Amino acid sequence: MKREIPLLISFLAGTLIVISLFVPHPPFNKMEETLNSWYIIVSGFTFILGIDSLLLYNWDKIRRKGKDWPFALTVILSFVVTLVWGIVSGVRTGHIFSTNSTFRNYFYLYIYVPLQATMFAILSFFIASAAYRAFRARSLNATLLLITASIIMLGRVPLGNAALIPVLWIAVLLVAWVLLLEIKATTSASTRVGYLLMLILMVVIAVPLTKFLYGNLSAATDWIMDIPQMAAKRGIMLGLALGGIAVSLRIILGIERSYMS
Amino acid sequence: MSFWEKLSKLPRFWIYLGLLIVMILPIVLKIKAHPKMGLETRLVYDYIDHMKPGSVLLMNFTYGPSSMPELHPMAKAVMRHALLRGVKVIGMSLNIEGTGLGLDVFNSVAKEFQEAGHPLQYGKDYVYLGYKTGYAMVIRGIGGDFHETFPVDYFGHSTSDEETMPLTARIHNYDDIDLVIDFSASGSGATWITYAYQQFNQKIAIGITAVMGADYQQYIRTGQLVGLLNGMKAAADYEAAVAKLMEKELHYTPPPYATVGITAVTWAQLYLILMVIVGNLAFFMIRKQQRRRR
Repeated sequence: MKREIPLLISFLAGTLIVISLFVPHPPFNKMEETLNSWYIIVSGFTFILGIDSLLLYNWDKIRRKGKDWPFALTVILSFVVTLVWGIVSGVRTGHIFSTNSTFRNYFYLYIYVPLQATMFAILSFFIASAAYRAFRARSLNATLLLITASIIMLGRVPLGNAALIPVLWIAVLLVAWVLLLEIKATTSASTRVGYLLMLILMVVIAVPLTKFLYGNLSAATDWIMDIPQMAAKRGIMLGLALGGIAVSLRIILGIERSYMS
Repeated sequence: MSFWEKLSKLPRFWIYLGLLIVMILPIVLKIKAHPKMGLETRLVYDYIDHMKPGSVLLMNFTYGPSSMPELHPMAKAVMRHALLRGVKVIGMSLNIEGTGLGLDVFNSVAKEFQEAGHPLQYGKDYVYLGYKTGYAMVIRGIGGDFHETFPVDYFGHSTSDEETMPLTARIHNYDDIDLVIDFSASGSGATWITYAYQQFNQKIAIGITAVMGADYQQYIRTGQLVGLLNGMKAAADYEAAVAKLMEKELHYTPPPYATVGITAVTWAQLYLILMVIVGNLAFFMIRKQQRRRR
């Protein structure tokens, strides 16, 4: 019975919700509303499970004096302070986010918000470092990704069009400089001619490319996002949706039971 | 170690310092961008601009402080725009972190209108419902019975009270809501489309962070979204357009956030592209040197 009852609940709840989607009339729509209300209540209780898990895990770490246990202590202390402060402030002012709530004015606005914003802002530094160290044109695929990403990055900012010419020509000049160094260093006449031809070809292509992209950068960005990107995205989403349907059916029919373990 | 090897192993400190400088300068110097509104943003702007006075806009805040720079000014600009057009605004949150931020948007925009000499009335012009747990079930619940899903607002007032809350008293389900706009840093936009649009034919727009843009663009083509506000660029476009409107109609200039922020983003993007170019240059030069040594 320990397994059968949860399986029966899953089957009935899942089937009812599916039926109510296709038959939005009594009694199914009313049953669906009741199930929705139950879901909201039950999901409220999941917070308790989360808190229980968080506290037990960290408390155990402190008790065992495990690796980095002071961090676990910080988690518990932060949790207690937030909870107590929030409750006291909420009871005093009526709502924790009311304008005279100390929880809102001190804790939320001056501790929580800056901490979260800082955590997210740090990402930009990691991206800069990664762009410098890892975003290399090692293969044709990587080169295509690099060029596409640069066009999208330029096309999605207001100064992108204006910055296009200097950015493109900095890239061209740097590559030209590298080629000139190669020409100087090499002793083979045929290799020299090859590098020289590459240099001329690059400049010849760069001029019309700049002309084309200037003024059309936004259109080029939209084309990349609307056609190749969207085609790939749709494929992924259809796959995800079909996978979701398959997993849901397995749960409703009791084939997939890992959620009970 | 050659020059190129040294360059490829440039300490992180210098890369970080460069980024810090290019991002801080526009903010400190308050350099404002003058963005040109993109098509996706224009769709949302035009939709709200053509809403009849008295129609209802439901704003949902599903983001935390980490996404504030992009979504907060966007939400403020949309709310300003709606109120300027006489549209009534209701706010709610499906994310506990978004509750305080949503309230901040409502309070600050109400304060701006007060300062502009056009005070708004809570309960009549705008209502903040606050947080409700349950995500998809809340979205479906609004379609069934609004008052059952939100019996009281954030401050504990009954949403069915016709005297103090005439705005929410007349809302029964999605039939009484003209547009839902979801400001999200998560996948809640798709949940709104799945439940509110598919089942109740509710008009929906979303405001998201730039990294999520690719996830939602296809919904505009299919008509499931009326428009999309995509990242800081859209926030800046919308903010600049509404600021002009406010200056013209209320002789009041709202404080700029996104129009300053987008300059920092632009400079940072250019810096990143430069880093990619220099990094690749060093990579190729080192490869050449290694080949030559062999």
